[in-house]
Amino acid sequence: MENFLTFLNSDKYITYVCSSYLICFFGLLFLKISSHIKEKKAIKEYTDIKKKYES
Amino acid sequence: MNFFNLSSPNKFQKFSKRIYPWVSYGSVMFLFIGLFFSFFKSPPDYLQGESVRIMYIHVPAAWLSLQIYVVMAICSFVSLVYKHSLADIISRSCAPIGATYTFITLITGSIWGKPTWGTWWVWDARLTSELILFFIYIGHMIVSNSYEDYRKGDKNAAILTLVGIVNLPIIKWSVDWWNTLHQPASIMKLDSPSIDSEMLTPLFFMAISFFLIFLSIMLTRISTEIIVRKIEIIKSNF
Repeated sequence: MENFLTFLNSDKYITYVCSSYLICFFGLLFLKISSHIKEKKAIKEYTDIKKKYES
Repeated sequence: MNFFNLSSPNKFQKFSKRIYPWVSYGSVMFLFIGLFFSFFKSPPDYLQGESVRIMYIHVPAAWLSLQIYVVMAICSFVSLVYKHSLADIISRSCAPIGATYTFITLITGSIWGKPTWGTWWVWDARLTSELILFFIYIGHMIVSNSYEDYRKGDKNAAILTLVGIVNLPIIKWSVDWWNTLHQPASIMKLDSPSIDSEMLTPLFFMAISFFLIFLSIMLTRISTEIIVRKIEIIKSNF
């Protein structure tokens, strides 16, 4: 806890550290979400196309 | 379980569906443990102060930017020599993830550089070779998506990946070969790591978490690519 409090009081570094973590996690989150959306779209297209050609 | 069976895209898809939840939950769990150790247990560095906490995301991202490229290079070799479709799919799925990790490495490195070196960017060997790696990833994505026939795109992207592998030893040993502003290796050394265990622990957990995040995104993208190729086959048959 002491280390965390020292970090919170470090005016000079807190912006650098927090911005790095935010950029990193938003980047990974964006990739994860966009990959999921792409997968869902592909599954939907596959089901539609399968139905279309089977009928 | 016979791992050679996984070379079939359909069997791989079934296997990936089974392990996906474990990988995803594991990545979140290790991420929280890593963040806890990074902010609560790790002390500030005597020289770099609190900015050392950037290391816990910068270093694992840098490791993965190289490891993902190695995976892509192996798959490209297998694809060119054995014409294996799953190898192409893995390589194509890995490229955007590798590009993202390289981007994170460059951005976090730049942010870390400002309070440590006094500058956002220098054209030193390590930074420049990592930037080249980012361009190779982007190049792979452009080449593999530039052709209507995905096989042509995969083949040319595989050649590009194998040519680009020459950049990996340059990135790894640039800090030893040239006089750079970037510090030399302190963890991946032949003798023991030169950083304290209090800093090594969060680094270890964050590295596992980043690896599992890579694995979970890769499994999703492989599954998508297999479905897209099935659609292409159905369309071409009718």
